[in-house]
Amino acid sequence: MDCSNAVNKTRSSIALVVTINKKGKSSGTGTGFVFSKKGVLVTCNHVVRGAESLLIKFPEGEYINAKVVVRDDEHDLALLKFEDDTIEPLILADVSVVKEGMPVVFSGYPLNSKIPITHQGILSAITKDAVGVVTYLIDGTVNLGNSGCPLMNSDGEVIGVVNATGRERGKILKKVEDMEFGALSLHGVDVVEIYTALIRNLQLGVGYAVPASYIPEHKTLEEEKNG
Amino acid sequence: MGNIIFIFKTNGNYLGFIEGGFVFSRDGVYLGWVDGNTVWDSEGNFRGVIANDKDMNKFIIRDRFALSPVSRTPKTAPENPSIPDPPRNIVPVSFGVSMIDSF
Repeated sequence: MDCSNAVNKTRSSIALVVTINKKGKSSGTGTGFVFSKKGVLVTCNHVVRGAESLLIKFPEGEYINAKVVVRDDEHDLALLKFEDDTIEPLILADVSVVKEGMPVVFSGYPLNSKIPITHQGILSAITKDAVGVVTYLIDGTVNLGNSGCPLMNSDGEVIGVVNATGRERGKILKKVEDMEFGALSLHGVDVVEIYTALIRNLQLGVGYAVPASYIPEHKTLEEEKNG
Repeated sequence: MGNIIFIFKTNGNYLGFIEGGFVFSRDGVYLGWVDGNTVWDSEGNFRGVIANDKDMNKFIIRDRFALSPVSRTPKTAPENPSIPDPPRNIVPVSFGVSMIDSF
């Protein structure tokens, strides 16, 4: 699939999201994209959860402040506001084009990248989780940092929000992720560093996304489209 | 002591209890909370749903083949509850091959 059209259309609207902890240091990264209106960024709730403050950076811009204005725990979505009205929002795809097996593309900032990286895949399944929330399964390379990526069709229209690692982390993995480097060593080897590297380099080739219809502002957009 | 609901494992063993919407082990350790019929653990991960057997005994089970929902924001552990006298174990039950105990 040639994704260049989608990448060109959307690249400038996809931002790196950096979470800042109480000590003023970076505590994690994710992706977000301008959606619905200028100055509003969509990302995953788990990306911004627990952050003291947030910085975002578009490909051609500098780091700027952003603030969480909406949290949706159930669908793992959050809306951020930022002061820059030069970035254009991405366009919502027609819901009827979303079908199992369709090619999809997603751009974001995985693995601490500072430039947007694009991956392609297919929409493997449209399913429901155990509490009835519609979930898209993606056959594609989803890594840490991809959370909050726009999931798009080949025209660069948004069909969902990639939620890379929002589930099935398990208690043991979470405990290791929460440890400081050097907290656990074996024969002088930092076990936390080893585990963390293993976790971060896991590539299952499967990702999850929530449908764009769950984005809090979606209803307003649909109404505007139907006019 | 408020309204207490006893929870069993499917092998019939007493697991713990629910009080005030929070799930505790038989020793009073905070395990999670209940939202409607859904149970989330102390770290906000989905654990399963509450199910009844024909005698209305309660279980927390999950479908091992179902996709887990995204985690919720963890709830602060409540104060230590009064630990009730444990009930007797019950007859084992089965909810089907895909349903397993959540805790």
